[in-house]
Amino acid sequence: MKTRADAVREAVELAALADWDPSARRRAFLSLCLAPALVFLLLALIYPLFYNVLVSLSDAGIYNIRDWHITGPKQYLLVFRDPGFWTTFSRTVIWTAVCTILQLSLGVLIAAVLHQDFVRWRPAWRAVLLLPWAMPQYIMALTWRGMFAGENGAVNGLLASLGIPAVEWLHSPAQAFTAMVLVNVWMGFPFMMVVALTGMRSIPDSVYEAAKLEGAGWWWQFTRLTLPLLRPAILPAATLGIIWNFNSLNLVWLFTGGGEPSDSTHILSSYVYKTAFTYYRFGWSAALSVVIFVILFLAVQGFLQAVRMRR
Amino acid sequence: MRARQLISRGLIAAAAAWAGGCGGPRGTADQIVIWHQKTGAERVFFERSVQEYNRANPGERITALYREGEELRNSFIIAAVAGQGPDLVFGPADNVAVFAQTKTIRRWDEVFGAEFLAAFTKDGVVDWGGKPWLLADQIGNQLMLVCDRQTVERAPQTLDELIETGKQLTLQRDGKTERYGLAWNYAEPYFFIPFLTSFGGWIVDEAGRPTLDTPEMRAALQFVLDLRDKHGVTPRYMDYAAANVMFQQKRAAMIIDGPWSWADYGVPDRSYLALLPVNTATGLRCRPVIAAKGYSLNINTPPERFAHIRHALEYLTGDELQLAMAQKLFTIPTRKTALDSPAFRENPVLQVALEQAQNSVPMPIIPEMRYIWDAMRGPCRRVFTRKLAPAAAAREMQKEAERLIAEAMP
Repeated sequence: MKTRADAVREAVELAALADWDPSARRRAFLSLCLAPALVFLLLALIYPLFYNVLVSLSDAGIYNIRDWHITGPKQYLLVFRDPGFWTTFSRTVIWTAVCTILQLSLGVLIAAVLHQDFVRWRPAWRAVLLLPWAMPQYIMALTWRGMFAGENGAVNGLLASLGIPAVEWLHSPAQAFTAMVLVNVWMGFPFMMVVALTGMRSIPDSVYEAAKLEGAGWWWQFTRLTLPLLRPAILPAATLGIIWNFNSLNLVWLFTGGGEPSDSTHILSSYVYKTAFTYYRFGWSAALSVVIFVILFLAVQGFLQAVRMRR
Repeated sequence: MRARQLISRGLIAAAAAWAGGCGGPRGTADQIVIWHQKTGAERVFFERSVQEYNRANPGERITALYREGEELRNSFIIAAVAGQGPDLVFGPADNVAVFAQTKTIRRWDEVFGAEFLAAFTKDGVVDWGGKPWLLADQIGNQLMLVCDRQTVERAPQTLDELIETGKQLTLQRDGKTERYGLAWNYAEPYFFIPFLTSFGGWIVDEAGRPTLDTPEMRAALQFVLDLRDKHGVTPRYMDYAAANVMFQQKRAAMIIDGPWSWADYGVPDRSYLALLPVNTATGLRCRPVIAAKGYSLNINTPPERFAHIRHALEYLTGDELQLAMAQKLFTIPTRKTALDSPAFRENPVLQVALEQAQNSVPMPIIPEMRYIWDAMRGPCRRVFTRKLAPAAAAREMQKEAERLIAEAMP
């Protein structure tokens, strides 16, 4: 029940609002519009991040889940002393670099072909080539796992029909990692292709016509015109590619069955998942998560800075 | 400290909401929620049984939700710590140690009287720290030898016979192996255990310390390796799915597998069950691991729902359902009356399964087990990809298990 005093206070507040200058009123309105998103960000991003840092400074584990204690930076020291961390970190860097470069190269190459006038049924080709990206990762990872499995897998079947001996795809670290890269490139190139294709369409034909008049060949056009003009579109896609590949937990976990063989195919995100949810070392995993966050942040900043400097 | 607790509870609640599918499937006074990990034919059977219960009891309702094993355990702990989660959680007995230690489940003697619990066999009420935490509706997971009826006339009784029969049944054509004598997921520790026990080995001592670097482990690894490389009776690459397909397509004459698969293999018509063989060298039978599977009660379930839970569990673990499950899914009942009933005692397939169950090793209910299994997996696989010798593998798995236990349970 609103009292008379409440009603008077409200009226005074409204009057005060009416006296605001237009820019202050605009700021207040914009703040109100932003508030829900800000609250959501606080709850969904900032708070968990803060909480994760807190857990990383603790001894939290499954056996003291109700009664953990802050122990300082001990978990960070344990992370850096863990030989598994350094091996996995190196593997993650190689994985991210190789996958991003291959996805990007393949995507741009296919986009360049699809952009040519001689290609017929372009929409159909685009739709077919988009499939690997459009399909659920879960299903794709498990299907590919089956195709790479043992003597009965489709991949070894194909090799056998070409007279090539079967490969122990999922049983040897190097082969399993190679198979994982192949599948990830297959799943990731369509995104790069779509971005590149959209970028190519925005390049005016007159640019190419002028180049042709100057006698430029297709390679010159591709390297000196297409690629530089694609950079604004490709750069965000490459940045996203780095982040996605660095964090691609789903594929690594499902395709290798949790880092098999012998935990030799983990990248940092799957390593942290395993430590948290198989070994229940929450404090340690939280510390590793913070380390991953910092690495990723610095890597992306470094990449963007390098690109800016080149520009 | 208070602020930290508040923050902690807030986040756990949020995680629980996520884990429980945003909102958490909490029951009401007339509704109970069960999280289970039954798959395949067992899941179909369970869901049908729940439907029948709901039809027969209009005032009460059971809601059954499936979750994959690992996810079920993690989600349940997170949810229960936050004061949420299902009323009942169904899973293998080895979950009990983690659940009881995290204080996320309630003892059954707080809900059921001694008379009800006494109707179960010793293995049917799973103890941890001397208290009953899990009420099993089945004893199972014991691996057995499944033989194709058309090709295997008599199941091998000893490991020597296994080699001989395996060799005879392995068919070569045009330089390719058309059929193997035996296929199974030999690189997975759980499936390797029967051979270890036949050499007199085991993986953990009574104090929970791993016992992996032993002569028995080395001998068992070498034996399984020889089955493949020296005697040629098992395929070169193997995982569970591949072995399953090979046996179903008659590209393997025998398979070692558990009760969850026997119906798919056409037991007892197309194939038949046999006890795992006896090791000729030691005189010991290959003994697989056996585990009870059943229900645990969420610590947060309010007492006003106990009557409904009692009623539901009397049905879900009752004689009628256990016997139907045994007939259909080859599980071993946990109620004494069901075990003694003619329907169970006169079924020859179930009697063989029971005999194997009696020749099995109970799964130790200690938290160290998950670290020991995990430590074994890598070196085991590397032995079978020829990257590691059995002696080195045994050493490595012991070291790894000790490290994992020390890190996770300081």
